[in-house]
Amino acid sequence: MPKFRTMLRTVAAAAMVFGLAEAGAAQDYPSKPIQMIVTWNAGGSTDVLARLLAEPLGKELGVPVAVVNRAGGGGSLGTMAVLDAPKDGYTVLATSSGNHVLTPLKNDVGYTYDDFIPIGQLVAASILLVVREDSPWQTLDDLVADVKANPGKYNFGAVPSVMPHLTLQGLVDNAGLDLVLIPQQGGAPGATALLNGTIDLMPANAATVASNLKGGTMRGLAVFSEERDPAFPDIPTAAEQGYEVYGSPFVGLAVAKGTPDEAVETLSAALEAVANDPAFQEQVLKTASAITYLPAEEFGKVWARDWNNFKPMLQK
Amino acid sequence: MRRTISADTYVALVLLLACAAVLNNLLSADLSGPYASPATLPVAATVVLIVLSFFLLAGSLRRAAPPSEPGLSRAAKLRVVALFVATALFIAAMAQLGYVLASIVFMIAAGLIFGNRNPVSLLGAAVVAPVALFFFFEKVMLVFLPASRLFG
Amino acid sequence: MDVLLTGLAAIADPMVLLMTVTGLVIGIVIGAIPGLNVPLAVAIALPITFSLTPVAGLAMLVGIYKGGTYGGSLSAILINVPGTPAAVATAADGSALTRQGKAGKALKMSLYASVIGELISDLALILFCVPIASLALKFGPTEMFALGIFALTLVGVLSEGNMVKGLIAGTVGLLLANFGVDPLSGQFRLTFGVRELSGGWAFIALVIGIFAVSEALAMAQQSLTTAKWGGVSLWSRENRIERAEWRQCAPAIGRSSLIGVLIGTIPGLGSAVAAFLSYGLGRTLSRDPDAFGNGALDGLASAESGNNAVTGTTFVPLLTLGVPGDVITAIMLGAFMVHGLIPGPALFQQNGDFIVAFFALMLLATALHFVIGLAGMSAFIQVTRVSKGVLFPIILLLAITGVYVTTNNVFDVYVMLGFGVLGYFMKVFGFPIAPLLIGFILSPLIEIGFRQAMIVSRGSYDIFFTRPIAAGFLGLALIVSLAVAWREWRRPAAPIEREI
Repeated sequence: MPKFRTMLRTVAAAAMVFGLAEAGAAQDYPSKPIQMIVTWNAGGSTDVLARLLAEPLGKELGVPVAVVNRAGGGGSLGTMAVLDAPKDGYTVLATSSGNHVLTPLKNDVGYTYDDFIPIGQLVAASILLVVREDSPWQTLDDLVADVKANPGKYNFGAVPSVMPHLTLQGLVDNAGLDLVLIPQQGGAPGATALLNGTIDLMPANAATVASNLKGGTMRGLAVFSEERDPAFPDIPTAAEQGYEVYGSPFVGLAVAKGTPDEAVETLSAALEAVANDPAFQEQVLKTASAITYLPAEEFGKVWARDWNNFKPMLQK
Repeated sequence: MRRTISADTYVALVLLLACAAVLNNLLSADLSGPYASPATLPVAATVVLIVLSFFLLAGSLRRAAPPSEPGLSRAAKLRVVALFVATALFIAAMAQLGYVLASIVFMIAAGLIFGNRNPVSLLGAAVVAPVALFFFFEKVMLVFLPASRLFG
Repeated sequence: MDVLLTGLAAIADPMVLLMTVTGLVIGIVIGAIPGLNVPLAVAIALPITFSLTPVAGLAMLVGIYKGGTYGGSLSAILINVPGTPAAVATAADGSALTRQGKAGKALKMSLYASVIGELISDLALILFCVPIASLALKFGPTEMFALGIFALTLVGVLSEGNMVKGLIAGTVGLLLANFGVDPLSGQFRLTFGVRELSGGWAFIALVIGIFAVSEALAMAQQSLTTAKWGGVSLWSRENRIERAEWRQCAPAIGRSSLIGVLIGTIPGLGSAVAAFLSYGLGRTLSRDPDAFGNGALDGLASAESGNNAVTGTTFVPLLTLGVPGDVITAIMLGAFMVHGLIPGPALFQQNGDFIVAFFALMLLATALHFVIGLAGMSAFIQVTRVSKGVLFPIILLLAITGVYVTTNNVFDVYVMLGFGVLGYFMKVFGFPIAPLLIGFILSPLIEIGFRQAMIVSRGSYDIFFTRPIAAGFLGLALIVSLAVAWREWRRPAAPIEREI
């Protein structure tokens, strides 16, 4: 049996090295790598932003920040994973309107916006109303007049019940339009559907259609924000054109309630430092979203505002 | 004369049971959509599956059960079950023992099930593969593997 | 001329060469290892590319993409475990050739077919980029539905001789894809109250479970204390590709490359669809269809040239329209944007030098793919010298680790094991596995296409017959179905149970 005993000893030794090596106490936060959970697949707009953020945030905190994709269930699986993890500040949620506000309003997923502590908002994306470059509509008024003259004729495309769809629904209600929704699976398939003529107009996150707008295959008619998007200064707001409709999905960081104050403060300070770094801002702007940083407290107010805004539309 | 029931008969019956469960779930759910609902395609696929299962059932009843194959030895069946159990236990143990420790134990168990009695290659693979994967993911790719819950 | 020179100068950068080679090696290795997947590798590599020049950064991503699409065939041929979904069609013939002691021949044909497919696709991209871009815009929901139905008839083609079981497997695949949130309405369906199921069955868990884990379970049946594969060598005489075999494979490669080129142009289809279409069509047109699945070299060549021929033209919609066709090109779109390169018609006018550099890069990557592929074959074939008692535990560990790091969810690892058991029982009871995957991949195409088309037509079925491309595909589907039914009718009764 000596062979077997040697075997056991080797295993035990290996276990000591790799099992216990990470057992440092968490007095000085942060002392080990931090996981940043993204509730959507790798390659989506939230994911790209999180990956851009991970490196400078890690430098600021002095420990690596690793992006972990935990997609599915309209973002609810990843969000729940943060609530299920130890509340020690080593699991951070890269949170967006979809998983944070819209999904829990729509389905019974076991959490609400209030189960989290805000760290800070990074981006409030612009939602643009876009048409094909050869479309006859030059302004929102053109579109409204044409749609009113031809009720039920024109199609629009959107992923159902996410921010761009709900925002356009706001315009439909505001202007009294009759448009037909052709549901899409995502931003890129929606852009394809617009270009191949399946749909006539589309509300979209600026990042999704940035390449088409700058490349000249699509034209933006309106942006549903209070001010024009610095990346697209030529596209007027809907309010400028007389339609008081707003919609702006956020992306920011949050942690589960119950996380120690010390960790929350360290994370908030680090995020603020990175968000105000011009080099980081420039890099993010190139992927077509301008940084619109909000400190923790105000980010929390955005959650409550959106929750109350969309509650009547989504909750049955 | 007793007829043996062929495997296909059982498969067809299992399929029909599964179809019934799926159909029941789909029809009792409140799914709606314009022109075609989210239930349309799954219901259609289930109906096709039911028809095909009846074909399978009819074929298996009409044909006499094929002369029973040489059949697996008891030991072979045991090995398959053992490998399944070892894998399931490994997945459960990952979160408790930590990735590396659980992997080493699993690799030894799986190696033994596959009939590897050579201590050098058994232990070598059991230590090298988990440690290499651990370093590759955690240190190079910054992707986390389950850490031990028992040892902190 | 200036544009050409500056463009080519950008390629002459040694960093570009280094990044292409790095990308190809990473891609081939990740593609070959069951459990690790190319989209994850591209996402992780993306931040690295931000710090490089645009061409060097893209060189790495293109390398990973091309290498990864090919790499899956290595494990499919050598151990009957496809490393990627696109290599599933390769596994049947490739592993049969390996069992016959012709692994070297299979590996070589896979590399040659892949590189030829890639080259044809690169040339299509370079020469006809703008004209074929309009093709991408001809495929609306109606056409996608019809193409999906046509592709589905291949389940019938691949099930000849074992029709009922093949169709059952295909239908189960169709149905499995319907679990979880409905993509078009956001409603939960078939979740049976399980929260984790709201995302549906994870694709990677299904693929790895049903192919890799089931193979490991089946292997455990055998007594293999010392079992090794027969002697394998790459360059022995019986592994040389004879002239007659080239003659047999050349039409298959040409046809499949064209299929790949077309599929690549249409956003949202991808290399697995191209591989299955090429393989199924190859079988339909073959004089000896029953050889397919039992070591047909032209079957292997069809699948491999088909899936790699997607990798060039997938950039057509990306460059001309700014529309990414899949996850990988979506990530690459991010890389373009970060460097201030805006895909679309303007890119060709304003950044001509970049376009030249990118086209040259595609050709460079294909050439290097050939060189690295040759070297890699000699390395990978060593796998067959490892005893199965060592190899299969490692494969299981890789499968579990790969699924875990992709989904970060232990539930999906159990799902993988469950599909492993399903795949094992399918093998035991004589059900072919590939149709299940085909059904799973085609299901969203068919369902989403159908439901969107019905809204476009406001509920009229006419739309499927009045649109020429859609009607054409539906007609083809009917012809293939009738041909299969006819061949099946005339087939002698003895059931041949094949595993594909």
